[in-house]
Amino acid sequence: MGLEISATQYLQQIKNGSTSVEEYVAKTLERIKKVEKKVHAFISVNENALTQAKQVDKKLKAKEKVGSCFGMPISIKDNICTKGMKTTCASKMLEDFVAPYDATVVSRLKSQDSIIIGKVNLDEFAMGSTTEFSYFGPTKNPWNTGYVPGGSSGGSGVSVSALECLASLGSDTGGSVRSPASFCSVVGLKPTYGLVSRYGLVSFANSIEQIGPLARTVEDVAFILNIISGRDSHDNTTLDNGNPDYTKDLDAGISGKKIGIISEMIGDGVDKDVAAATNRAISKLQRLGAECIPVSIDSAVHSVAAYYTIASAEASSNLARYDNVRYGFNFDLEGYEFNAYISKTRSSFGPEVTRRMLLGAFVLSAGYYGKYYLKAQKVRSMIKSQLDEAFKKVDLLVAPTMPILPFKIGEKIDDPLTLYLLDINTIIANLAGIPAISVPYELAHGLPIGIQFFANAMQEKLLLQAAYALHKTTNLPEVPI
Amino acid sequence: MVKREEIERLGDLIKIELKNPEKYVKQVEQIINYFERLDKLEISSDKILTHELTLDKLREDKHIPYEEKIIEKLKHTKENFVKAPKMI
Amino acid sequence: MTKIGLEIHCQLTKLESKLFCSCKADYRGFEPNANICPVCIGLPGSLPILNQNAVEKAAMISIALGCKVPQKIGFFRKNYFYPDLPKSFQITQYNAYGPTSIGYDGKVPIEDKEIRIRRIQLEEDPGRLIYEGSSEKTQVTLVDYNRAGTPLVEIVTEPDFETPKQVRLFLNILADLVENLGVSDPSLEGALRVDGNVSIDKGNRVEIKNVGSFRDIEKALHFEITRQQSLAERNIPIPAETRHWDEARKITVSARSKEEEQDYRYFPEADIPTILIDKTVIERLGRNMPESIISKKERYIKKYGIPLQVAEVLSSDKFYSDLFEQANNEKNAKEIANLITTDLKGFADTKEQREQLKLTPKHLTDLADAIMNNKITRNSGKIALQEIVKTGKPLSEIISSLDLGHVDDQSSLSKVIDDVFVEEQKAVAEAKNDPDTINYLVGKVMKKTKGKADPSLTLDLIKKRLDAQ
Repeated sequence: MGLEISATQYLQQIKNGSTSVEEYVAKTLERIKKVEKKVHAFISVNENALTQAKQVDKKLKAKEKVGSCFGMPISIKDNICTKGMKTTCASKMLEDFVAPYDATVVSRLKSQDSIIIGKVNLDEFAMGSTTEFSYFGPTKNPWNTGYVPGGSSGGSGVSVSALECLASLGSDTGGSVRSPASFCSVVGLKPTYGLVSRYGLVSFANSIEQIGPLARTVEDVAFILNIISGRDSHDNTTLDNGNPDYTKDLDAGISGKKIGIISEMIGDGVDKDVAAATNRAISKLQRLGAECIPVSIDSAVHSVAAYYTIASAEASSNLARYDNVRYGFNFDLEGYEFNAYISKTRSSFGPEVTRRMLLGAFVLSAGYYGKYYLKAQKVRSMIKSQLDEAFKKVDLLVAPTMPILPFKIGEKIDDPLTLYLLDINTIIANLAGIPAISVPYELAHGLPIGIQFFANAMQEKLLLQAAYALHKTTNLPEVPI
Repeated sequence: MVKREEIERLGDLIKIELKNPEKYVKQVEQIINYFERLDKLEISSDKILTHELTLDKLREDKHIPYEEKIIEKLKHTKENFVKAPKMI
Repeated sequence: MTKIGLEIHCQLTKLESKLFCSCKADYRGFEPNANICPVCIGLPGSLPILNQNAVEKAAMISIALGCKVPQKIGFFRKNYFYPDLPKSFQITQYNAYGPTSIGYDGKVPIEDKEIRIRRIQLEEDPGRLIYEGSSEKTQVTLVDYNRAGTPLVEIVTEPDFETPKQVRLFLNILADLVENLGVSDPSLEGALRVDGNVSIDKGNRVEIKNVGSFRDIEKALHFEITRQQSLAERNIPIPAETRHWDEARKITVSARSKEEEQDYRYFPEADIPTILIDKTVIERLGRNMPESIISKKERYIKKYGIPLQVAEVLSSDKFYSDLFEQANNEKNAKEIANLITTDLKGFADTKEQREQLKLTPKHLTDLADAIMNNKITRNSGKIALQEIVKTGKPLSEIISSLDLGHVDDQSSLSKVIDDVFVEEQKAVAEAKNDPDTINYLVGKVMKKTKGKADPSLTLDLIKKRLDAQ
């Protein structure tokens, strides 16, 4: 078939002429047509993809300068703005919205001649961990289509896993890149807060979220990170990273490195298959030359409460602008009074988004600010301090990405708190702003298990080296779809 | 104790018409009770994570007209106003 | 005892760009929704990018009003729903959790009092609403976002004012100050907006909003104080509320009860990091601030010997003081000051006049020199000035084309005096005894020479002639 190759292998094949961009993109589009009825990863597919592919081939033939992506087909989570293509955030509130501009990450990819193959599904406004809260219906796990693919970047995880594209950009607020990466058996990175521009990412929790790449190999993820990272004048929260080459020295290995096993994340509450796989991964890391020691991050037990307090508060404010007046869906306002109209249109938000906005309004209400929001910010600071302390003793931290295996679609949808608690392993990275990556490790009952590494802020190179070393030892089967 | 009136008040605060507020009462209460652990937590430090930027790193004060006519991409009237519901 | 506090919004109209994006700061003159971008209209995914100059200028205003400027400033979100607010929150500053706004704890001396400044904050203006048709029949509101994102400095005072007159004095000082600092043009409509709150005898506070101009604020406050006093006299309690100034009827009208305080759910704006303002930067801003009006006035009096009234007019108007600084060479300072404050003033009062003015500082210098060196009389100077203002031609050209040259040679003057003596024989007869009539004769000579005759020489010659008779 040829689609199972990695992005890096694709680049080699294009450069040595064994395939053309048009050929590969045509195959990709065919694959999407074939597989979409089973997994529903895409909200919209780029109808100009083949034309754009031909243009890249033309440039290549004419020996003109071509960007480093060489026509690579990449999917973009539908909460990241793409000029001329719809950006719906999987919500009725943005059903007809076409952004007049590209997100910085999208324009950087386009300037390297990548092809945006389509916009992929998510939980509405990125709020959820299973992609079941999409206005356009759920996305299904290609390893077993009766099961959830993780979320909120479920479409990203699936489109990469089901060979519908070579890489994807998702967004990670509480684990939303790593959870689908783990559940779909692909690599997913949440960068340091500030490493990647958020300009064009539709805000949900703006002090926490980051755009992150998903791909089938660590090398591919590093390649994409090179292109999208670095200071952006359109985003005041971006940092200067010195523009390193994240693909360089990826195979440096982890010999001599100290890796802390987060004790709170492999105890009770973790599925026994997941725990067993994690232990095997730890043994593997030791055989690769790392010293693995238990580390306690006891403030992690408060992380879910702190995260959902802060994220809901920010969501209630970030989503207040969606009132269907300037853009949205078809609903005539003539005759309505302002408050009545917007209250009516805003009742089109789904139940999870509504729930979080109610919570957010509550914790920010006069009188409650100190009790919940301010306290949550202090807990956040405490978590960062504990992690800083831990990173004085170890180079990296490790834990399973998700405490359980993927579960059946619909199984937990009426139990919001249970779903929130699934983020317990991923959330500390978001709260502290440190990078974390999920690497596919094993399958149990045909369902994927991912292993997660954490590093301190701006230590992506170290993180990628550890992920690369572990991933290299795996021998996972092809996706069964 | 989260009551229906509270949910209705919050719905009004964020301008969302809740068709059946009861649906949210139990769930919001359950989650707020979970948040209570934050209130009970004793934290000695008042520190809060902040990002900082020095004054000289801020944007230069220059008028750069936006290259597109954005109003044409939004719902608008003939005279290029945005139409909003009436204010009483 | 009457207590009045003010909440003033000053647009930084002299900035190039808006507070959080590069659209134009002064939105006036644009077609509807032609001065917008994804950021100021709050499109999904847009992010605010703070304007460095806005922070510096706001800091300067704070320093000028005697405020402390913190070394770390932060922004907050004020959340509410209104059609002119594209993000459904305003990015502003808030001091409830510690001083993080651009200025606090300041004071401004007026007359014999000190008005305390509670805080100064930097924030964005919302868009503008236009109501289609009359308010009863209208089915929609029209929104123009050109103004959305314009940088505002909000100045909140303590309720230290006791009379509306003090308020007017303060506002005049403030208007002059922001103009002098080069941050705002207060003559532009909507550039300086004032809300007041009034209470009498420790009663409830009433907020007065929607006052159009400075003159109206004094009227509105007078009305409100009278209204409250008459209620108090009849032992009727004064409700705490917000009232609007009705421009047409010149009264305040109840708007909404202040009891229903809106819950704005303030929390920190995470898209703008905490901004560090080094102490050395604050000091540099203070040093580089344009000279204050008071300091200018004192300098004009001390250094140039300019009389108090003239110095006050000159120093309080930036246009005049700039001209003065550029035109004077110390020796002609008093003359230049005079020319500006008496003669030029009639031609350069309004904005339109100043824009069309063809006069340059060099013109003034040349004119002052010509008068001081007796090349032309002061009268001729007035005529020349009028011509300069209109045409901008060099003084020498105007003097020759209008024949304004000084008539100071004895022979030509004597000839004119001869003619006058023939024409005004009655006056000549009276002049021997009446000094006023002598002046009348001088006037006649001046008239005949179209003001070019040297007055003192003329007087001299006429006196000699009379004595000789």
